[in-house]
Amino acid sequence: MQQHAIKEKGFSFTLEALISLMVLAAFLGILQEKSTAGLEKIYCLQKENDLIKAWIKTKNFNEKELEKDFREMFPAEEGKITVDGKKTNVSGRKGKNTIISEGFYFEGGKIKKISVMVSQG
Amino acid sequence: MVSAIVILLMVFIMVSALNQKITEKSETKNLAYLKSKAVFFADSLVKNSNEKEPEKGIALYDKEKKRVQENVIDLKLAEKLDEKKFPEKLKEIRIEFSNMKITAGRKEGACFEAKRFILNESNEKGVLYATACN
Repeated sequence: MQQHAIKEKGFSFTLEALISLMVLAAFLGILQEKSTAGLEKIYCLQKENDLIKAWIKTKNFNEKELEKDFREMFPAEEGKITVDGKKTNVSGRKGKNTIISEGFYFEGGKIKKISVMVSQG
Repeated sequence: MVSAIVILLMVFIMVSALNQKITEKSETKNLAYLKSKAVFFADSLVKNSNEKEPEKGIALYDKEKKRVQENVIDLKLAEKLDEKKFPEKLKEIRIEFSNMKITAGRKEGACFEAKRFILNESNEKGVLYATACN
């Protein structure tokens, strides 16, 4: 088997350069952390869908009841519930993002729309 | 000599700042991990039905329609929940209706609690809490 000696000269780092590279690598490592914003959004959508499913199943669209259920899932957030065009605003903390879920149900021979909006972030 | 001291001092300051930042980030990351565990366990519980292992799902199975009723809890299954069979990090499952409460397991330490809106077979409204802890 043929062997080759390394003839080319290498290069060496100064102490300062090595330290700088290490610090740079550490900073890059920190910056690469995954964001949890996606999970927060999924969790909010799950809760909104729970409410829509429960309301459609119980067919109880009493405004106070809707607000009470909304508060159970979102104790401090601002939101809006729309059932067949009738809007119910729920006051609370206003966030940067708005997350909306929609559902449909069949009543009196018509398809009706229900939506829940939550202000979050 | 002076430049060496200055370099060492700079390195010390940078390393301690980095250490603080990394500690903060790891705490946030740990909470995010717990949160993901709790959120997905809770989702599994309300969407699946498993008679043999209720820890994987306690939704009501409609035998006539041959399908699982999402978000409708089978209270008989919920009563069978065994904390010894809980998946990793999941420490407590609590189901609350106005007239009854079922708790399996016990939470302790740093935890995150995920909640889901549920119904029982009589269409009464309630809340399911799944808690993941360290």
